[in-house]
Amino acid sequence: MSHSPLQPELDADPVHRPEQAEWLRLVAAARSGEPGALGELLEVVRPAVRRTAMMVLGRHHADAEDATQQALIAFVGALPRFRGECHPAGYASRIALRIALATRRRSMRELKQGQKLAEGETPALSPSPSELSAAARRREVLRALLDELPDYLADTLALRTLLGYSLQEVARITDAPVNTVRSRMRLAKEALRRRIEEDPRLRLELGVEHD
Amino acid sequence: MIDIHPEDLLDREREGILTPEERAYLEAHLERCAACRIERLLARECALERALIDEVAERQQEPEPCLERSPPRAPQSARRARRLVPRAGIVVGALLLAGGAAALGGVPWQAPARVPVTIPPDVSASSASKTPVHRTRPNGIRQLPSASSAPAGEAASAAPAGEVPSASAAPAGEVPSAAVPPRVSPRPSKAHPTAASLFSDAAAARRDGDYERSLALYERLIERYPSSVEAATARAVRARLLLDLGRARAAERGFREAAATAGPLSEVALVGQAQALRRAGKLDAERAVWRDLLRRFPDSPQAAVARARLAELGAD
Repeated sequence: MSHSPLQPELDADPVHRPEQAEWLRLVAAARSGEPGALGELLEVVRPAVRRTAMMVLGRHHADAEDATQQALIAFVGALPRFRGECHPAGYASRIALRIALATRRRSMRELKQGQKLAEGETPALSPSPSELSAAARRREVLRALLDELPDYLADTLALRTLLGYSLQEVARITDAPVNTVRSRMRLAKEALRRRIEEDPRLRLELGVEHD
Repeated sequence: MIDIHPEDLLDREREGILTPEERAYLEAHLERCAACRIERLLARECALERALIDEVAERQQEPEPCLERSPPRAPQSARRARRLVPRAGIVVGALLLAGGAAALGGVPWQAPARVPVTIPPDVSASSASKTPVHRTRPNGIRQLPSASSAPAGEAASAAPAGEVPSASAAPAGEVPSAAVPPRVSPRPSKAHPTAASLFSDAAAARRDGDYERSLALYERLIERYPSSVEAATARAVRARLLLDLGRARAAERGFREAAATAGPLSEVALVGQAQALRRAGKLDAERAVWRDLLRRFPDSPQAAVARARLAELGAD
């Protein structure tokens, strides 16, 4: 069994976390239909999935729980393809990320249609920017950018910034070399910087006006 | 000369393993790189948001979180120290820094409802388009994906590419039929964790952004194994974490405690203590710490930093 640098601590709960050998056994047991194993595995990945959905959509988004459910179902469906190169929570996180981003885009479209907004105007998924704290505004800028970036950049940016995975972990989860992740991250960060610079208030708060 | 990419240094900073040289290099880089500055700030804010999400979920699921169970015969000083990092602290901090938007914006804060684990009766792709009949945990309270959500087939296709050549799900026989409802494993008892396991768990929680848990585990380690090698490191890492979380006073106490412990980390702890004092606006005390560092470690790489800062502070 090869050792994965992606540590099992990807799961939020260190007490509940099985060690690598144990989670590999659990995945194998779930695949083989061992009674209770799938449920146990879902308990392991559930915190990461929920966290991902809420981080992408926002804690108050009406569809955050639906997205969590969708992601858990999709995780079960994708389990036969899981190669064990990262912790199942990381694998589930990426699935949840895709689903949450799709949910967000759909919500935006629906809101846009409902609100009949002008082209380029952003529908309000949450309190208006002026009502948000600086931190929440920054996160909203990040989420909006995820909607627009190509998948490979959005995944990298979200996994690292929104979900807190290290470069090595992102590389394992996305099945990409670390250098590729690093360069994707730089591209995404530059896009983020440009987006923040467009907002005078955020620019001032971040002190990027002189850069 | 530091030959590490800034992104890697940010990872090392998050793990609390930056050397003083690396930290100085990183700070210098951040001074001129807005993109990395933004990344670090967002990463910290998102970590607090994640902590809040996990905290809320955990509170809903566990009336008595195991970390709050006091270990037997905990010394009073340790119990006092524990109070420095109350569980509510991270929530308050996160609310202020990350989630305060809701309160400020007049949006009523609403705890996310409990997320049940729901398993489709058949998870094969062919069954995805069928009307699913789902099994929900007895304590789960909600329905399955609403009409507004993506269909199960769409969800299944969201699996990361590259794992297998085909995007189709495996045959039904390869995965369990889910006839057995998911069960919640009882939380394993960790009545006798070792210093190493506590340190490892604390580091894991920190890497995952679960700072409050990380702090609590470091506390427990220091309290139970005060003279261990792990505890010596834990004191400095815990203080750094407190400083990063903006708790300058608690951080200063932590660094002072770490600096008082003989060991190779004393110098690092002194630097941290000075930074915490600076953050707290206690410039006289900061000056004294820098001088102490120069006295104790005159040949240290940090000596130049200390001298520069002392010059900046001027004569007292």
